[in-house]
Amino acid sequence: MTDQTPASAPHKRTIDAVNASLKRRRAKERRFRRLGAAAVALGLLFVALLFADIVGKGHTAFQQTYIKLPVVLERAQIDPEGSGSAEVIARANYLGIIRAALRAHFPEVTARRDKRALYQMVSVGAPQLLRDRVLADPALIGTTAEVWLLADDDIDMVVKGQIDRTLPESKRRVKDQTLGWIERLESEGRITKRFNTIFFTNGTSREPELAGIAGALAGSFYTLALTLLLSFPIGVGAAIYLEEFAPKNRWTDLIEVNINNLAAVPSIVFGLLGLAVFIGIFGVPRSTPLVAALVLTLMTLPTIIISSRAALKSVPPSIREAALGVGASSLQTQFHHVLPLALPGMLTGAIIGMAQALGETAPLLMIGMIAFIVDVPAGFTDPATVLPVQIFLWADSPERAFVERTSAAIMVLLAFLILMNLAAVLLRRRFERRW
Amino acid sequence: MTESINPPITDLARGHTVSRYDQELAKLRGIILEMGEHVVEQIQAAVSALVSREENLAFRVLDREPQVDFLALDADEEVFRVIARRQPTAIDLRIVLALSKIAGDVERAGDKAARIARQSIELDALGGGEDLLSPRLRAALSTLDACACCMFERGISGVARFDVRIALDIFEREPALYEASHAVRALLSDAEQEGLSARQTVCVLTSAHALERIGNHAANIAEQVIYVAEGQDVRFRNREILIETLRHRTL
Amino acid sequence: MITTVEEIQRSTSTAMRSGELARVRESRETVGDYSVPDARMRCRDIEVWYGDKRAIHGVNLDLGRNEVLSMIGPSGCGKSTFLRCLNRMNDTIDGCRVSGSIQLDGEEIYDRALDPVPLRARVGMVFQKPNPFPKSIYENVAYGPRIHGLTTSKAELDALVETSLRKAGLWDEVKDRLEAPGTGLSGGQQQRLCIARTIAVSPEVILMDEPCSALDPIATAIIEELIDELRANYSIAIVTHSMQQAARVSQRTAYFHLGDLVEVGETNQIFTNPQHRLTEDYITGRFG
Repeated sequence: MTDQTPASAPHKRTIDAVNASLKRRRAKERRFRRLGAAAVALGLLFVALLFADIVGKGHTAFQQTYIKLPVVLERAQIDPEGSGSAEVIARANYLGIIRAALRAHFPEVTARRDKRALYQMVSVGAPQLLRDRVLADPALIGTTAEVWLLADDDIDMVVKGQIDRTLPESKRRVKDQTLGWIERLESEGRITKRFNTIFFTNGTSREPELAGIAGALAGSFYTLALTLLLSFPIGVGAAIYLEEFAPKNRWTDLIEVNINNLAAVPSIVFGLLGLAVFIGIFGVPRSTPLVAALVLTLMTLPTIIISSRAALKSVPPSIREAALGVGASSLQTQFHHVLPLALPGMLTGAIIGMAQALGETAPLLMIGMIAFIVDVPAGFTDPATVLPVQIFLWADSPERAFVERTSAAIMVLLAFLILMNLAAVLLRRRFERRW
Repeated sequence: MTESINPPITDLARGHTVSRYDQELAKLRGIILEMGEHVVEQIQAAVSALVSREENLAFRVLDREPQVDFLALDADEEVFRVIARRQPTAIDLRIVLALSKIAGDVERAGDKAARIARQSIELDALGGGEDLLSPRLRAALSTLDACACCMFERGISGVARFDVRIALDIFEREPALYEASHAVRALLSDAEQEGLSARQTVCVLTSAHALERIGNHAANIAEQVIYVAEGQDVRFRNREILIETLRHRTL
Repeated sequence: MITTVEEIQRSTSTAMRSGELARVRESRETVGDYSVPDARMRCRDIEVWYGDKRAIHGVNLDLGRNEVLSMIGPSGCGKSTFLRCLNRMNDTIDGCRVSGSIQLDGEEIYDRALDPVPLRARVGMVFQKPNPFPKSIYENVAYGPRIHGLTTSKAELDALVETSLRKAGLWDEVKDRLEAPGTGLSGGQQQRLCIARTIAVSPEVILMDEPCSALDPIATAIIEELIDELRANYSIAIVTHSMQQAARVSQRTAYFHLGDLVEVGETNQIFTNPQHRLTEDYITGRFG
């Protein structure tokens, strides 16, 4: 056919034109795909860098250095009357005992200044730990026990290699003398690293080796629980009203615009609002989970309302019609049919809102959550701090040992965020219905 | 281009949205019209064979008769096809049903033409000469023929236009048809005066009867025309009242 | 002799014009008798407005007892809107106003004092797309009776579910899997489930909005057979796009055109000899 077509009358067939442009189109498509893949790869790279940095810095915080010393627990010093009562045992001078043990192990140290340096090798929290140990096991009294004593953070840093031993003495925090003691203890096998339980059981502290995230975790837990309790019902209720019952007029339009705007308001503004309204006018105690939850509720409400409305919108109108058609009232239609179908979407929105609230710092600074609180809070009205604020505080601390703790706390926070997002995905998978 | 002229909401002459449907209906009607054309020729040929005693003409009529039958089969097939494929409704349904019945009437009118031709051949076989029929009888037969043929031709044009006025015209001619038929019978009742044998009389009578039947078929076609146009089945109505009603309407 | 299509078409139009005295051509008054003696529902001067747009202009139409009334017409002619007035389903649409009088057994349904919720139990509705609840088959049927408190015991409810499914011709197909999800059924079964759900609350009238438009011909035939059986106990109003379906299932047919009820009459008459030119155009397929 084509051979017979005279050259003078070139008849351009569609397929030729298509073939001609096909190569260009394919190339365009390939370029676009590569660009997309590159963008994703870049994003992943940065996430990986972030994680590597945090994990690299923080993983050492999960271990803590201990020094083993023979400690003489004389009965006369601890429980002279042999009463065995916990009160008496608790009142004994464990600091003296530990110092005695140190002196006994390093008899060559005599100068007053050197002794002080020697005493500083052990954490200021060590006496209390020793007391707890003796209280737990009174049989130790009257013996000489080999006891693992919590080391000071500087010693910890040296042992973990965070402080370079080769630097000239003037450029590092640990003096040559102390370094010599450490090396001696190491050679005697009297220094070891153990899993850092203190990090998970203690509140914060000025001493890095005694600082933990338990207080911040408890604070975050109380705050989030209350936030969820407040924001989910209010948010879902508002969404249902706006989506299903509210008349469509200028007022509801205005409300809708404002909700969308609220979602974009910088979070610190909510903190100022909380400070002025909740603390200033209503007198809610400052730096408590209660006030934090109120502020975070305000902040997460737009997110929850918007996602709940989207979830309600995605329920096909045929379900509403079906329910209305058999004579269900509007409320019955909502609660029997629409809400169960929209719930997974709403929960997802709520969890994402909660995750956002979990990571929020700025507004909480304004309402006093930045206060230094050592005790683990036991209720909604106890002064508390929360995880992200704790991270902020530690990041601000000068001690070298707080750097790794900051990273460790970030790891814990990230773990919780990932868990919550995972829960959101699972909930969606589990309850999402197809029709 | 801003000015848009609103056409009348619908115009029937525009035809169906599916133009193929129109073509099928047109084909069906074309077949019926062709049949009608054939049958008119057949009748004219048969009657002139009878009246002017031309045997060849009569044979030609018999030869051509199957053509009409074949067309009738075609028409039936087309009717089935339209019904099966298009499920006609309203006027389309009436047109298809009416054409189906009209096809039957036209085909039977064709049979009547053949019957007349056969009577003509039989008269020849009985040895009738060219002047077998008296001028009186010839004249009466011609009147009857003219009447029946005219009605039938009008019936066919009614199929082409489905016009109530044509149908009315046919109904109005019916009395004349019966009168002409009666005149032929009256002449034949006095057969001896005409100089015809009993056999010959029967032949002429049968022919006259066939002509009258052709007129009846034309009237049947007219009834179908009214059915299409008006949607009313007028087959067994009192003719005179019907004519009055139609006259009143078409005024 | 005439043989070309054009000539034949021209002659057809002549045929129609010759009958123009008998046929209504342009009038927007309803042709045919819209009233029936002892009507179940009586609609007078119904006007429906969507905002400033008038969707239905003064329609009068009755729905008789034990009859199937079909409503046909081109898209946007207001037939579905009209149907949705009959159980106040239009109330859910913002900016929709209905004026005129609709009586169900002599009772004004647009009366301010009347609650639309019990009304919708009396005037049930089956929708275009089968829309069973995403629950079990049993729950789908039991939902209506349960919220209206029609039964007092579980056994009674079971019996009602069975009767409803039987009436909808679905019982034999689903009796072994009443706990299976209703959405797992085939399209036709789902639509019959929706019908069962509707008749479970024993309505007086059933409205159907293109109930077969999403179904295959066999499922459609089953539903049509069902509609014919249901006629013994209910009044049925059905909107359909399929003229053949209207012709098959209904006793009376109403033709809507741009918000007007153009013609109403016996289905037999509408489909063989419609009186209004618009009706004829629509049902013979001459509609632009």
